[in-house]
Amino acid sequence: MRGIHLLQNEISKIYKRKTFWIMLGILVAVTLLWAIIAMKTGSDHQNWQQSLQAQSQAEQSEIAKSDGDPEQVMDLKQQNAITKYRLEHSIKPLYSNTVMGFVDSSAGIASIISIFIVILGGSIVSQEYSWGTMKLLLIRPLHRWKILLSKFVSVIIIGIFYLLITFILSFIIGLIFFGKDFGATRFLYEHHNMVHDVSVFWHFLQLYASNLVDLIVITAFAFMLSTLFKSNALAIALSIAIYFGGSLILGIISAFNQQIPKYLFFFNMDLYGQYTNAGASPVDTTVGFSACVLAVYFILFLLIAFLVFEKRDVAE
Amino acid sequence: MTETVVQVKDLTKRIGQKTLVENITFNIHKGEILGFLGPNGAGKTTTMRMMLGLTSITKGEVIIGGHNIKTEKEHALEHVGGIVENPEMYKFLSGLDNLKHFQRMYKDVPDSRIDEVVEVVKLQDAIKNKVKTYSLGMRQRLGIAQALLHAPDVLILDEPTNGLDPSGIRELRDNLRELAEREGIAIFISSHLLSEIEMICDRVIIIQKGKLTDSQEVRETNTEKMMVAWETDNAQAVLQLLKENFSSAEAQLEKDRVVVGVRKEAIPDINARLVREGIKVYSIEPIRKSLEERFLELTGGNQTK
Repeated sequence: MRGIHLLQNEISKIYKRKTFWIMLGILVAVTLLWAIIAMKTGSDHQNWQQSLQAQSQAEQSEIAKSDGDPEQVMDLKQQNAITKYRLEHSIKPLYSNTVMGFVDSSAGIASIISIFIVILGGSIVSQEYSWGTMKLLLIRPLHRWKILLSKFVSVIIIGIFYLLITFILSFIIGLIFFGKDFGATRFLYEHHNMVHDVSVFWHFLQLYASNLVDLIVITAFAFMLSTLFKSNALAIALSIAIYFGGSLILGIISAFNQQIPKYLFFFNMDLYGQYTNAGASPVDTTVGFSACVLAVYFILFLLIAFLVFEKRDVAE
Repeated sequence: MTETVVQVKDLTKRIGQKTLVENITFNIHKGEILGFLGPNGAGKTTTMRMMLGLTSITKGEVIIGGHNIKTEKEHALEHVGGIVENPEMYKFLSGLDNLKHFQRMYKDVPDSRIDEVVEVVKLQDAIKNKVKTYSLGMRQRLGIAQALLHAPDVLILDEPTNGLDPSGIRELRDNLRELAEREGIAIFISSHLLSEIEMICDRVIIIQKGKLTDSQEVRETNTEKMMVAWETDNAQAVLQLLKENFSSAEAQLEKDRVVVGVRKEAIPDINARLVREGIKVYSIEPIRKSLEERFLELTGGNQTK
C-alpha cells in the first residue's frame, strides 16, 4: 500500500512544478507544427498507383545496372518487393498528409519525449540533494530502495503518459487536419525476404512499445548517473549525448573492433525499427539478442544506482 | 525510574584516518529536553546523522525505542522525528501538501493528526500557502510539524535556532517546552550557543573534538542536586548549621553568601531551620553559572562561530 503512496508523492512532485507543463506544452506545439509541415509539404496522391509503378520500374532498372555493393542491391530488392506488393494488393503507402500517415510520422516526436524524460530522470534524485530534502525522505521508517524505486517508476509513468498523449493528440490533430483522407490501414515491411502485411494499429503499438523500451533504458542510464554523481547536469548531458551521438561513438569503436558495438546498449536500441525497416537491419543480430543486451544493461544501471544509494552517507 | 527512549553507546564515526566522533555514550529519557552543546565542527551533526540512520556507524550502537538503528533501521525510525540542519521543505508545495507528502511515508498517520500538528506549531493561517512564501521561523515550525506527524517518542533537532531572530527563538523555545510537557516527547537539541540551550534544556551534554566532555543538569528536578546560594545576615552560622544538620549538603562560603549543593526538596527544610534559628534570610537563588564557566573553559571562550 505504501508503495502507491510513494509513487503518488513522486508524481505529485513532478506535476506540481512548471517543468512538467512546459514539456507538455512543447509536445502539443510540436505535434501541431508537424501537422502544418505535413499539410504544406504533402504531395497530392490521387494517382498513387501510377507513381508507384514508375517507382517500381526505376528500382528494377537500378538493380539491373548496379554491379557493385551487394548490400545496396539487397536494399533495393527489398524495397521493390514492397512496392510490387502494394500494387498487387492495392495498399496505399502511409502518406504523411493522411490521418494514419500523420500518426505514423508523429511517432518521431518520441525522441523529444526521451529528452524530457532523461531530464526528469536525471534530476529526480540529485534535485532532492540540492533542495536539501533528501535527508527528510531518508529519516522515514522505509527502506531506501523503496524510495529510489518509486522515483524511477514515477519517471517512467510520466514517460508513458507523454507517449500516450502524443499518440492521442496526433490522432486528433490528424483527424482535424486531414480528416477527409484517412489513409492506409495496412502497414508493410520486409523481413527475411518476406513481405509482412500487418494492421497499421498493430504497427503503431509496436512502434510505441519500442520507443518506450528505448526511453526506459536511456532513463535508467540517466538515473544511475544522477544517483552516482548527485549532479543532474552531468547525468542529463551524458545521456542525451549518447542518445543522439550514439552512432558516432559506434562508428569510432567499430573502426577498432567490429564485435564490440553490438554489445553496447545504444547499438541495440530502436528494437522495432531496426528489424522491420527495409535495409536497416543489422547484419548478425536478432531482436532477441538486442532485447537481451538492453535488459542486461537496464538491470546493471539500476543495480549500480540502488547499491550506491543504499550505502551512501547523506551529508550535505 | 525514568524511562530511556534512546541509548547511544560508544558511538564512533571514522572517515579514513579522521575520527569525527569518538566513543560517545549517553541516554535520552522520556519527556526530557537534552541539550547537545559544542562548538561548530565538534561532531554534533555527525552524531545526529548517525542517530537518524543518514550516515553509517563505524562503531557503537544507537538504540531507539528498543530497536538498533543499524540492524532495524525501519523500526527504530518509527520512533524518531527530526530536522537535520536547515528545515528544507518542498518550496513549490504548500505547507499542507508538504505534510501530506510526509504523512504518506508512514503506515498509519490519520488526516486528523495533520490538523493537530499544525495547531501545535500554530501555522493554521498559512498552511495552505506555498512554502516559498514562508519566513524562516515559519519554515522552522513546519519542520517541527513534519517531525511530529507520527507522534514519535523523541525529536532530534539539529541547530534549530540557526538564523532565527530573538523573537523566533523565544517562540521556538515555548513551542518545544510545551511539546515536552504536553506530548511527553523527549527532545534532543543541538546548538553551539550555550545561552539558547540553557533556556530550553533540562540537561546538557557537551561535545568537543568528537568526544563527550561533560554532562550537566540545567533545570532542577526534585531528585537531582542543584547549587543554591543563600544570602543571610550570618553566613558563618549558616555554614555551621548545615554541617551539623544537613551533612549531605556540601556548603561553602562564596563572598558573603553560602552556596550549597542540595536536592530541591531539601530547600524548604533548610530554610525553615534557618528561620527557626533566627537567621535572617534575604534571598535564596539557584545558580547555573557553573555550566557557562565550564563551557567557556572547554571551548576557550570561542562560542560565537
